[in-house]
Amino acid sequence: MSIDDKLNQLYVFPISDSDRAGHWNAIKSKCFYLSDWGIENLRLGLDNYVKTVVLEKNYTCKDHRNLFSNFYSKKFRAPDSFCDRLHFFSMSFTDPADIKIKRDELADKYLGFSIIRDVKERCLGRTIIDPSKIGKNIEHDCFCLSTDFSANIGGARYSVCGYPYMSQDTDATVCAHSALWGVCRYLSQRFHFYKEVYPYDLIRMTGHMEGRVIPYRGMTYTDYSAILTEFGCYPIILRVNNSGLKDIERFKDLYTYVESGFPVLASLSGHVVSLIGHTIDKTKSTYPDKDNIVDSSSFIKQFVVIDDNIFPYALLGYPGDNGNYGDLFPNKFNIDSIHTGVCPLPEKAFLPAEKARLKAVMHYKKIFPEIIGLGHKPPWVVRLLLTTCVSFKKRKLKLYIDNNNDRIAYFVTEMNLPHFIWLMELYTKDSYNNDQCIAEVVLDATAGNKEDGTLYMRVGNQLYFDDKKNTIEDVPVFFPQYTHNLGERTS
Amino acid sequence: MTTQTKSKKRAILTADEFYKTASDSDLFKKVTLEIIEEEKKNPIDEASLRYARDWSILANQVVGAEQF
Repeated sequence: MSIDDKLNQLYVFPISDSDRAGHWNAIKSKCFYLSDWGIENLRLGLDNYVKTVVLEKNYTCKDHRNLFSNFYSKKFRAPDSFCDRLHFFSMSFTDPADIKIKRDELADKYLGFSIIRDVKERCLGRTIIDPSKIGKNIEHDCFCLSTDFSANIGGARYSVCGYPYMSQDTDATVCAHSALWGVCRYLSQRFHFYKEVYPYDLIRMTGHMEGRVIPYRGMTYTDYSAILTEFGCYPIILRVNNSGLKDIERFKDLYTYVESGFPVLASLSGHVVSLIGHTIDKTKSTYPDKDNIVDSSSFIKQFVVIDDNIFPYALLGYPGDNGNYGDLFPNKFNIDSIHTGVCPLPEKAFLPAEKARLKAVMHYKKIFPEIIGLGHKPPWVVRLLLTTCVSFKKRKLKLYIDNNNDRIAYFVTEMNLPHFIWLMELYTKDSYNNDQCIAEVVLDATAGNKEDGTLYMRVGNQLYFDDKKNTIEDVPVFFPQYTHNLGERTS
Repeated sequence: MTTQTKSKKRAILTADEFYKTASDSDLFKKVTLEIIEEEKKNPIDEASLRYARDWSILANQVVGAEQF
């Protein structure tokens, strides 16, 4: 046994602008499983931000150990069951002891970690990077899912808020497993009622009707549905591209589920990625429908994507977008290449996006003359999303506390609401640019289509509730956009 | 001399206040009735039918097995 096996030694590697390649090669000389592909991908996302890399040897990764126990250990030449872990900091330091002793000083500078596995080429195991610390944040009109994880380094606990990423190992798992693992790990980490699952669990849950499941084979949509259902989700599958033609209505639904904060598994060009957020361009030219309505999906610039082939938080754009990461691959792909989306919904979202949209728009259509009478002018922008009553009331309460005049916001916190609600916000083009709503309608997500599931509607300072209407004095006519699902952090 | 500080109570909208001056509205009922009327005209739920058709096409398709 070497000294490295007996001690949890930490190695510190400064990364300076002068010789980045040299510094990464120095890391590789100690981190034996870090492949050129691994370096290339880590550098792609971190180069502008990382100033120090810390190598933690002999890390026992629960995900790699799970694959090792069930698959790799059966090989004649089994790989290492231990991993290395790289920690990334946006601050320069050289003393390994600082990580433990100066934890409070370094905590804000912690970008996240990546586990390096003994796997040929695709060495990146569980990786959690904070998107807000690498330029993917609200200030850049980038909205994406993230949740809290922690890393304990020799007794010092570091927090990182990100979305779980792992590359496929190309031996036991493929992109479909990596994407599913990310969805399941995100959900189990964020919501305690989902049980944590490991890579081999996903292989085990794959149907056997097509024969053996290892070495890797692609999953079918039947496998997807079965696995997500066993995990505890209630998936809905959307075919957004019909024989090469984009189905605009289905695309709106896909966007709605992303906007609602669900990681959506998207199939494109024989590949699977997770859509976990989007960037927007409010200056885009949009075309209102026959009712003079523009759906907010029209303002999407790019989807924020977790693709196991590339560093997390890649941006999937439209054809011609210079920032579209799909152009880096031989079979160039873009947003229009998405043909199917699998959305892992909660049980009590009975009313699908399609019907919620129709119902919510019908409310607005009935009172457009009144809204115009209040001085607003079409075209209208609508934004639909599904959210929890808890998050919604939390946001309304904050709005009331921050803005003492908004008594309607307070009244909403007193309403008896179901666990899940559909919210459709209405804007004028100008108010959308300023993130200010002119109206909102809230529907019961458990209601059937023929049931009266409208919970309330607000138009400026007018409130429709319980078959009554009232104009509330001293209440702002404009109120802020709801931003919890993708815009706020859990910590 | 003692200084008495009065904290200003936040104004809230109470249910009493809302109901006392509210007028009746049949907006929600009208929307529900319209949906029911529309469905009567077309007894086939197009959304469910489309979903079922899509599923028959997708069920056994492989979602991803490629490296590139």
